[in-house]
Amino acid sequence: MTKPVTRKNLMKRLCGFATISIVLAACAGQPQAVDDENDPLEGLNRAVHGFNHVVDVMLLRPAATLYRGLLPPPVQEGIHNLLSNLTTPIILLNDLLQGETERAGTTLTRFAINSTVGVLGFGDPATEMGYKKHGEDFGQTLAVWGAGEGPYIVLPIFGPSNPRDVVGRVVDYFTDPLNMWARNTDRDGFPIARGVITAVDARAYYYDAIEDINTNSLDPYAAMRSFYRQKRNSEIMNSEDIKTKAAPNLSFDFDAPSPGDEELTEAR
Amino acid sequence: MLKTRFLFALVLTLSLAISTTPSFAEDFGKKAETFIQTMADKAMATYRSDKDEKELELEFRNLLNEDFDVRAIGKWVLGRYWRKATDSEKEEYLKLFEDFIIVTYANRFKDYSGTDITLNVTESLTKNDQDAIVRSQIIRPETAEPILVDWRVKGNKNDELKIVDVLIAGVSMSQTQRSEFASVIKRNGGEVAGLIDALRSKTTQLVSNVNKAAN
Repeated sequence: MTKPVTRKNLMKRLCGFATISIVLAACAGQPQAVDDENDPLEGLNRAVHGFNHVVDVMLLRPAATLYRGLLPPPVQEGIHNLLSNLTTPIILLNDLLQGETERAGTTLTRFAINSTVGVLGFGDPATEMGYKKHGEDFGQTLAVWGAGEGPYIVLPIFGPSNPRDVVGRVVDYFTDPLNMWARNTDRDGFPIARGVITAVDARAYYYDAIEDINTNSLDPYAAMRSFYRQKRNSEIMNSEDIKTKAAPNLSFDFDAPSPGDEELTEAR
Repeated sequence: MLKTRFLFALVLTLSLAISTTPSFAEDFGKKAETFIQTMADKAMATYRSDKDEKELELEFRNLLNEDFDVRAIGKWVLGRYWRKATDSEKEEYLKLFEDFIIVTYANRFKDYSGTDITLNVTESLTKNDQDAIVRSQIIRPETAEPILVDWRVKGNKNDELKIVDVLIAGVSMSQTQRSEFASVIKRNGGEVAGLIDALRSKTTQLVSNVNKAAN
């Protein structure tokens, strides 16, 4: 049953098609300059940001406050470690997809140490042994492969993102062996429960930073947008690594404009 | 006699200058590392002492003006709107910017003052002999994961070291503020005056929060 193509329908389809091509074209581009806000959907994004803030105030923030009040700090730390130990397969896969064999080795070693000596990942003795934690996900892999980030998007509940990271999230979800296991054994509750605990843990872990932005910022939406873009860029560059052996400057972008560049400020 | 001695001294100085040129950048990195560690130790000592609110604020303001290039940061944060601003707007903006920075950072420090945090400089990367990044870790007793803080240090015209940016876990505070201020100006019809009003009311609100908390 195909619907007759009315004028209105055709317009709708064309609009949808145009939107998709714009999104994809934007994704293929070069890395964004830090000053470029690239936020064509700002109006919609601000509305979703407002909605997320309400959800945060009504649900997530009270949950995180309770969590921090009820559990002693070592237990919170333990749960945080446990959750990050569970993300090992995703980190390992993306280390490999990015050709970072040394980091893949670290990821494996950490998993072996923390799952045994660290009692199923509750502790993190690997860090003390010199195997430091790092994150990796498919959004970062796409960036390393040359995909641009595309316009800024605020997702309901999930918060700040962009088309590249949306694709990354979906791929991460489907490539995670734990989720595969849950799907194959009809444990639908598992990914949901894990998602909820991860959200509460993250909100509690970054409690002060989030409160800081909400209290001190003149425009929390714009602050979050800049924060998210910079955080992702720093994660993609793996700049948490202490001095990469061959080219130390690669882990920090010295050429980005910075305060003190008088002529730059004046020239614009 | 005097002339030959002068010539000798000149040649010696020149040859020294030439032989040390390649390591100037590295020297700057080392100097910057010491500078940051000293600054952090000073700040921590201030907060551990039992001074009252007013004294703390004054010391914090001195520390900030001594070690940070507040003017350069303020100017850069305003970005392309700096040129658009009138002279009186520039003056008022810079004054408000300093007050705003003082109250926000004083709050941040206070949040941590109860806990025994330490800052350790780990290394530095140098761009040239006047520009370096000093990397450090802030260690908190209650969590194993340290916070990674990078300090952008530049030498100014008078050869003094000044902090021009602080990056927390790779996120530049100056860059974040720059985008934020640009957004506020844009939403106020492109007028710097709109930002000045917003800065003034925010600072007043934050100061009154601090005073409420203190009483």
